Amino acid sequence: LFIMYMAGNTISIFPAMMVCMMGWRPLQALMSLSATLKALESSSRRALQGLVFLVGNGLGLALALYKCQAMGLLPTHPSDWLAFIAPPQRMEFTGGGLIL
Amino acid sequence: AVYEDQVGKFDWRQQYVGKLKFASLEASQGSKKLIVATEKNVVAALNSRSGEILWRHVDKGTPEGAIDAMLIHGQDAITVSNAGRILRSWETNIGGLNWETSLDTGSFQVASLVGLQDVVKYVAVLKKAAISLHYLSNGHQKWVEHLPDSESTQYQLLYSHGTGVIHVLGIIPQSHLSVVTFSVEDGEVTKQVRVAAPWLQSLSGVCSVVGEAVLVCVDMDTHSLYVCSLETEQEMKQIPLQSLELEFAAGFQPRILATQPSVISASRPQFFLQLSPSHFSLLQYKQGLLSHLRDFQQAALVSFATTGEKTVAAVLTCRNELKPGSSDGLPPGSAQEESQEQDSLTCSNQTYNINLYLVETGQRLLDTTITFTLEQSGAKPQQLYIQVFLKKDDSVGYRALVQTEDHMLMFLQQPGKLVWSREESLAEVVSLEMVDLPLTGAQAELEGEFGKKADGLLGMFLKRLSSQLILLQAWTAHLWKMFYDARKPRSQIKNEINIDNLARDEFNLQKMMVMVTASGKLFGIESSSGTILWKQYLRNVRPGSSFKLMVQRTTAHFPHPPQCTLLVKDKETKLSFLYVFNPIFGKRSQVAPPVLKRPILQTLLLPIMDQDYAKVLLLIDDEYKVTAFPATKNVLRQLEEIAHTIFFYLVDAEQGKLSGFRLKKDLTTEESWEVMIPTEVQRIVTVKGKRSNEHVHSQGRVMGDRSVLYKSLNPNLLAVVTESTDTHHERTFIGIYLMDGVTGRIIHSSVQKKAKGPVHIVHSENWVVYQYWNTKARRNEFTVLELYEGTEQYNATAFSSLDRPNLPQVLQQSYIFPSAISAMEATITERGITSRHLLIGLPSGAILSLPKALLDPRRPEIPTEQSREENLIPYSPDVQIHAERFINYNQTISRMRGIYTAPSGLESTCLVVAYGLDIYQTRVYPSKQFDVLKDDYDYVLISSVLFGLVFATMITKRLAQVKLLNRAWR
Repeated sequence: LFIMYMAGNTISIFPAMMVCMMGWRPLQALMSLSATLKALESSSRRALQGLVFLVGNGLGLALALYKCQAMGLLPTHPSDWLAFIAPPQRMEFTGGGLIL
Repeated sequence: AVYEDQVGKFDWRQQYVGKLKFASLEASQGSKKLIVATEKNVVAALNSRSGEILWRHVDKGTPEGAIDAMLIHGQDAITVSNAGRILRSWETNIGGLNWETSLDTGSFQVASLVGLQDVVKYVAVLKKAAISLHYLSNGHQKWVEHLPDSESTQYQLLYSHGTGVIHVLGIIPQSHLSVVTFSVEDGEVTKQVRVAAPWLQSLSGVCSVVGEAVLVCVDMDTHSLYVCSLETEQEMKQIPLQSLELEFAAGFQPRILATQPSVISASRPQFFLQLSPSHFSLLQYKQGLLSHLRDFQQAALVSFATTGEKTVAAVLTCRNELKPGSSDGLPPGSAQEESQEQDSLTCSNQTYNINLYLVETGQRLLDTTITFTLEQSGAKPQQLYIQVFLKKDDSVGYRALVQTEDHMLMFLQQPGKLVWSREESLAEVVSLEMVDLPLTGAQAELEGEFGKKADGLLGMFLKRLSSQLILLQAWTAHLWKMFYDARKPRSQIKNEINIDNLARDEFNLQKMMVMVTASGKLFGIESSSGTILWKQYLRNVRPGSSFKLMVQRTTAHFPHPPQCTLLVKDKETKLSFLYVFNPIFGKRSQVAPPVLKRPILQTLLLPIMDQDYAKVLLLIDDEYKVTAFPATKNVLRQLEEIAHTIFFYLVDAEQGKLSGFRLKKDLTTEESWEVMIPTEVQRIVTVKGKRSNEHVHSQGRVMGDRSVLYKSLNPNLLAVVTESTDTHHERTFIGIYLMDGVTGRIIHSSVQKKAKGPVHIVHSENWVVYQYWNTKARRNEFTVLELYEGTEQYNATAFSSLDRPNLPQVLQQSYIFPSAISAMEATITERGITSRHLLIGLPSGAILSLPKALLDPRRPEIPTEQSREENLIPYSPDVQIHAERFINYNQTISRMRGIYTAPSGLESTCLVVAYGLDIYQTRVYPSKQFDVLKDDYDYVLISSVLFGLVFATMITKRLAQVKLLNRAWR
């Protein structure tokens, strides 16, 4: 977390890689949720432990998303969608000019 | 800027001189040049072998630079320009200026060389009230004398023949002639004679001096010639023409053409009498006797030429009968009757003969016939200049320079060989369009397959197979040609472009330029090389007509041929006609355009198409009725449906009125708005709409805080420029009005005080840039206006001028520009992604490519974090001219009048044509060539590295396999 803070909000290859890793690991953990649950099968408070695991990984993911947002990598501004706006359709036609 | 090895790779320039006013051909066989002075105020020397320009001097384009006379003496050419104010002498070999003197004011009449005792030493200039004599060697004035009774007498002729006196002939109309004789030495009036001539109106054309100072005049009313010796006699002797059995044509002012081979000796006693437009007669006046030497019927032009002792007359005749002008299948319509009223004569099969006749006897010289055929129907020869020389066997040989009505110069050699020709009408291009070239036959075949209706699975399959086979065939032919060409030395390979092998290239960089010139001649020029592929002369176009060229159908709709339409409107009669043609081959289209009975005020090209994919052209006439072309049922039905969305705007600069009209279903219009701009205060000079083929990729601009500032892209927006009628430097102003062409709503108006035109304006996307002269600070300034909707878009899906509650925000900034400009245009690209540049034509002939980002009203005075984020350049008031921004390096364009830009198939590339006296074509890359590999891209290195890597992988794979095997054995 500290490293994340130190990395700053500029976009360069190392912070970007770190953010990717940070987002990827919780995702990976969530994918292997069933395997983890299987390992926890013996435990008595299985549900609670599973929930804690879920919440922890979710927090990690949220942190990564927040970091992305802080770095400006999420398309949340109208300017991010500007290139996809189609030109408005023309309703009237006009022509003419100085009298020939 | 271009690299040295790119010079001439994409660009070309053609230089012109304009229509000839005076020309001089040296009378020797070995001479290499001919000196011309033209109506475009150009003095130039042309290479008589190739027709290239040896040197050229371009004077001001205004009447101040007009050349009034040109005289040739030896190696010097003397010109009188600026209404007789400036006398110049040019060295004709290299085109240097020998000397220049300014003359006194007074309307110029005539100039002549004056010789004394076998040497030509002076040049005499006759003005309305004075005559002056200048030394040929340095231009110093020898003497200047006032002419007696200059208020009442019009002095029009000057004559000397080496006897030490100059005769000046003046006339008081319908009263008498006045002959004043000056001494060359000191300018003293030695003699003054009055000759009664009550029938005489004017001297020019009607009178001429022949022989030893004998004045010959012709009078139409009495059908007679009048003769008077200037030195001895005091009365005119009347010789009735009936005695020579000659008759004048009714209503034609007869003319006399005489020749004086050298100013130190007497004129020839022979002269031409023009009796009708096509009837000349060679006469001789010798020792008081007038005799008739030869009659020339059906002659179009005559000319004299002298070499050594021999003087010959050249006569240009039509091979067939001359017949009254008919508009050989040219645009029908009301203009046709007009042209038939003129008593013009055309040659039926456009074949002409030039013959030489010895003037002393009127005998035809043997073997001196030049026969030539004009390719353009209806263009008749207008001027004839002859260069005569004696061959080794003492016979006479000659070359002829012929200028035709369509401003074409032809240099002919015996026996009818065209040495070179020049298309001088291209010196005055008025309208220009670029049309895509058609696809090749094989490509067209493929396209055609998709165009046709399906006829069964098997049929389609066979068709596909056949077209693939054609493609294969074309490809092998191409390969074979490449192989064949590779064996030949490089110099022999000529990539000749002609009309048969025209085809679009991969990136559509090669286009057909359709040019309309002021003389009424149309040209089709291939844009990559500048070769003229076709030309067409519209005969019944009178000078000063206005033209509007429109592309109705592009080449995209195979098998329908592309179609261009030219609207020509005569300035005087106000009548207009349409000329429809194929822009690739220059042929007149089969489609019959509508006959226009009323004067057409304006046109509108709609994006809707008829079933043949031709865009619909609407023409509005002076009763505000609309004519559609093409007017098929399909079109009329479509028009009825969308009539309520079609609007016209008309700008009457004379009355200061702008008015808008709405189209109704029955193709009439009703006025919907009107704006008056009082003409007492200001007059409208320019109205600029947007280009219809312009694409804008980005709908807004990203701000520093990552919000969007949306552009106000009103396709109906007009920029109207006015100039004040008061030109005093304290009170003069210019006005800019941004108006909506549909509703007439004024979106923005501003008045720039202490500013003066001429205003150059560019209107594109959401911005307007204009340039003017600031009279207070005495400098040229640019002002840029940009329109934004704000951070919210009102209606993102459709734009309607009728539903715009909010006015756009207008941002404005001004800059100082260090030079005046002569033309301005913005670059345009296929999809509008590439950043825009302004192309600015400077009076020096250079074209400056200025990034639009430099003229951005959002440039901050104090740069902030946000403006840096946006890449805005901090504001600095001066825009500098950097020589590396010139796109035409040293290929300057004289008297540039316009710049035309066209998109190419590559997004990065924009085609540019600048025209004026010269024509220049090039390509520009406003955002560099981001979609093309560079010329110096190292294909060898990249491919060798790639192959090397692949090879290395294969080797290591093999090695690894061997090693694995070995380990397994262990």
